[in-house]
Amino acid sequence: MRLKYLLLAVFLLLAVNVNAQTSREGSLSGFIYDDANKEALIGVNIYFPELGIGGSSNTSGYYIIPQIPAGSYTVVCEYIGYQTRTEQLTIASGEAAVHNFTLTVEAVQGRVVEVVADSIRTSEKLYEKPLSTLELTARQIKAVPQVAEADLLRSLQTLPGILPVSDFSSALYVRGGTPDQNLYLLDGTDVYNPEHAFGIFSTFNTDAIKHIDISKGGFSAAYGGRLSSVLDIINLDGNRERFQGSAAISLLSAKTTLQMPIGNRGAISGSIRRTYFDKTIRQAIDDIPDYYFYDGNLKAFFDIDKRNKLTLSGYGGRDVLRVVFNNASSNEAGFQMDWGNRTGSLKWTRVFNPQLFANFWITGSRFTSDFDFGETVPVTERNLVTDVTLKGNLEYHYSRHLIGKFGFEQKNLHLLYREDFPEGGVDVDRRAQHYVAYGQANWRPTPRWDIEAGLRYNNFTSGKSFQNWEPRFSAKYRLSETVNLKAATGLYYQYLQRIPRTFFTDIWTSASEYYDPSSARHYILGFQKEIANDYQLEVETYYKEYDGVFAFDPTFLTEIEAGRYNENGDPIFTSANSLFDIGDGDSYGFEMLLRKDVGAVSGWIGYAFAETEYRFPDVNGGAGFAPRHDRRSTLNLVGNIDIKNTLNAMQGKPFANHKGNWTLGLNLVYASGQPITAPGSAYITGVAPNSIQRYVEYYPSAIGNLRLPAYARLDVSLAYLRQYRGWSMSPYLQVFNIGNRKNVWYVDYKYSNGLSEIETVNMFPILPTVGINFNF
Amino acid sequence: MKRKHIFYNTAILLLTALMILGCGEGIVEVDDSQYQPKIAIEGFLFPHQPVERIYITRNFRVDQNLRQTGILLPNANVTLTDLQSGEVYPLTFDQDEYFFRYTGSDLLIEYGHSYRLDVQATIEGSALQAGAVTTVPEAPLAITGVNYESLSYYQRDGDGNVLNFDVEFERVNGIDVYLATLIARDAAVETFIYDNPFEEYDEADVRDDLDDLRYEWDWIQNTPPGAGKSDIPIFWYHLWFYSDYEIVIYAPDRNYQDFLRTYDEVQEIDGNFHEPVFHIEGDGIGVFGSAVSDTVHVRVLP
Repeated sequence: MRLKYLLLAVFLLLAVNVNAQTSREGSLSGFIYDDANKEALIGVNIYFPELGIGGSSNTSGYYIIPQIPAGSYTVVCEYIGYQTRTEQLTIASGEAAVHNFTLTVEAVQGRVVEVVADSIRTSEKLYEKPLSTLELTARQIKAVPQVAEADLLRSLQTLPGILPVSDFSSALYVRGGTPDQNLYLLDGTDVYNPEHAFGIFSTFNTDAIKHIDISKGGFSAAYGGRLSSVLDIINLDGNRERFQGSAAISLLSAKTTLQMPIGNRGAISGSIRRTYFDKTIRQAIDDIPDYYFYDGNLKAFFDIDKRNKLTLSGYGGRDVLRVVFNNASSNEAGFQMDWGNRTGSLKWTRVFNPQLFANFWITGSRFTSDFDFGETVPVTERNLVTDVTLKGNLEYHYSRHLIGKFGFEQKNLHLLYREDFPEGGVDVDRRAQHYVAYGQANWRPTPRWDIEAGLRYNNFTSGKSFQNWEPRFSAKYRLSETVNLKAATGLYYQYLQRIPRTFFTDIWTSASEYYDPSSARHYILGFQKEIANDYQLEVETYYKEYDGVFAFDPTFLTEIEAGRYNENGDPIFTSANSLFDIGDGDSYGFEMLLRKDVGAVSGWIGYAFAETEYRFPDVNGGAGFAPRHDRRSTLNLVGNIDIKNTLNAMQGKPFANHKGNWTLGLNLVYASGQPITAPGSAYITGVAPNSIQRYVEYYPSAIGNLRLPAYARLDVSLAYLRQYRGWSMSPYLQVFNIGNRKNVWYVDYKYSNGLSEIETVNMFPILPTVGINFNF
Repeated sequence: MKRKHIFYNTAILLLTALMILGCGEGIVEVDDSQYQPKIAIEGFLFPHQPVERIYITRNFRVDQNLRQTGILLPNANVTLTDLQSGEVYPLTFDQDEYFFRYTGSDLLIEYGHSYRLDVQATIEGSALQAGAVTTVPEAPLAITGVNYESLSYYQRDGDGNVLNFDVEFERVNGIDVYLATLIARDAAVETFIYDNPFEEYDEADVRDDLDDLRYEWDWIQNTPPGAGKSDIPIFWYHLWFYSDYEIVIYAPDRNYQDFLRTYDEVQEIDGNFHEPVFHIEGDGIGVFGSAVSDTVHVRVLP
């Protein structure tokens, strides 16, 4: 019932056209586009220098500045990598002026643009973004050297507070949280299991990406359903001016992205990608599995009229793995597994009036995996997550000082895991409904203060109903022109849990009559400083408390109970009951990021100190322990060096756009060792009374008792960009782990003829890759 | 020019420093700090059978040379208590077989009865004690049949489906886990099935792994409660020899069930270890359990 009242309040607000403007004031609103392709630009700063007021464009490129005193003013529009645009506009009394801006890419890309009004741009950019939020552009992601090709998730792992657990996983561990605690949104659609196999690729094709925001905590009431982070990815809308394309070929994969206008009303963009080492390297090396994946994105958007836009977005991909145990045999045995995501969304963007802006979505997300052991052992598996969501986000700019944001979400989930094996089966088939309503007020009492308070309401039902309120609060204070202080806190609930499976697809299950939802509280303080116009320094400290978090219980076989029996008397397991240990924990840490986005040398240096402790009654005798992903100290250095212009700068020459240009990329990570549970001792036993020999078995004495050695890795890339009339090409060489450092993944223990053999199992060795990118 | 040289030198220095940082090898220091001495128990009771093959050993450090380390605890004080009568029976160490047994004739293990094993031993100067209670299954287990007495390796039916052995048995009340062990009676390098679809072996490999390959085991669990028949399928990946196979089906008690399901699966795929589920009190690890069993033979033909 309370949800109904909330929704009613939301629609009442919609219906009432409250206007805080006086008759002597007007407003300015509109969209901001890239001049070259008419892509909406996100996070553009727009302001009136004479008045000292302004705003920034939202994720749809929309901006509004209310309560502008009537008069003629200079309006400045600024965005990194684009020429600053300055226009004279006259705002009449009571006028709701609409003006769309177009920004032109800097002719000299990357040049430090002239900074106006006491370096307002960099400091303003820092001030505008929420605490613990980092933004990356596709260009920045591509500049980070990687195993085979630029990858979003692996690039995010170079930022402080975001960690991988090993080279073999692109999953993100954010501030002590586990990967299932991250919300992945692709054009507004939830994505489950966003990793392809073996950690090299994620499901997000960087060529199709327009904008990425990752919030490492303290996120606003507009987001929920996860305890740790939100990764919000917006794909390219498409070029509205001309046909445009890019293509890339490397040793492991090929991909292309094409964009074109649809008349003068919209645009369409599409990307496809396929790996092919099953056709190349595997033909020479038997040990490489027969594996490939393909994926593709399609996005189209249409301007229905000045106030209404429609965006259609879709993604589809499939991984296929086929393993044959013994190729030399006349009988074949092995297994095949294929898995992938499909997502789709339809977004309606509506400007009800200049002050009331809204986005409404219908989204669908479906993850499936299928496993078949073939004829040797009749084992098959089907894993499915379906999510159909209807949601809306609205912004009401009541005044220059007060912005209201509110929205709703109705999520229909279907979680299915079905397995057939000779001695029984698993049939967990659950449906869940999740209703959400939220509201938040953004109050800017003075130009120095920005206070946001929000409340999110959840009603989740799957066998049992849960109702939870999530208060959120954040505050920003502009200490000086270049220094900002920020704080955020919030309560977060999560209703979905994951059964992790190394290398392959995780299985999702939900809060139910067996398990309550997990929750977390975030407390974050931040300090931001602009240094020498172009450098951004961000320092944050946080404390995060977990309550009722889930850890997969590896000894679940001793507790699991059959839900029913089939006609052969074999057990059928119908719930996730007994699969998890439930506990609590906390994480705290300190992060520092010094970043430079422009100029001949760009990149960042990040340092993070973190400590995470879990406490589970059934693990480690109830004593606290550090989980596998806990790393105390991590240092990242990412550099992208435009060699010619760096040398020019050394000689005092101006930045120039060369026809041919060399770029050097560096990625260094140095991290203290992870904890691992090692066996404290070994013993000898047989399995059965008639065992014909006894074996050495290992017995752990304490969880997380051994720290692995520090992890270090240097990746280097060298690219040559050659520009021709209308197109360009860029061959590149990337070397992952150029020092061939043997980073320890884990320790393997065994005895052979009475002698102990303790061997370290290492992660990726040196991996060179060559490829070429084309843009046309 | 001077600035250029400074840049070059700085860049070279930086790259060299980064290279050095990104080279080398992580060295794992495995020390003894987590070692705690424990009494390792491996013992099973069978109704109406002598109490013997109770192995009492000690655990050892993971880097210890077993050729120079004695793990037996022949001086351990080991007793078995019949919890129905309260009678305590001392077990003695068999110097030839290296296990403890009860040498008297006044102890009869009964169906459905509970027994407690107590062990006291001194390891590295520490006086340790461990104890466990097992409740013997209530009734005998009976194999009621096997679908084929013999099959050719990877034999198929007329439709091309692979045939498997299937052992049917009567369930024991209160037991829902059943273990099958398979021993190839004619296991030899010459009888190994080299043309198998699971793993490529040569004769040297088979010679090295002969004991591993000739002894296989599997279990089923969560069988229906109460009386009735269940079956255990025997898949070809357990059968490595053209041989007579002795298949023993065990109905284990809860101690043995949990040991069976967890003792060997303590290292996860990412290398992390986790605790097995043992039902031993005090300073002990391993299993003290009980079971009932029955045996059947099948033959794998070329």
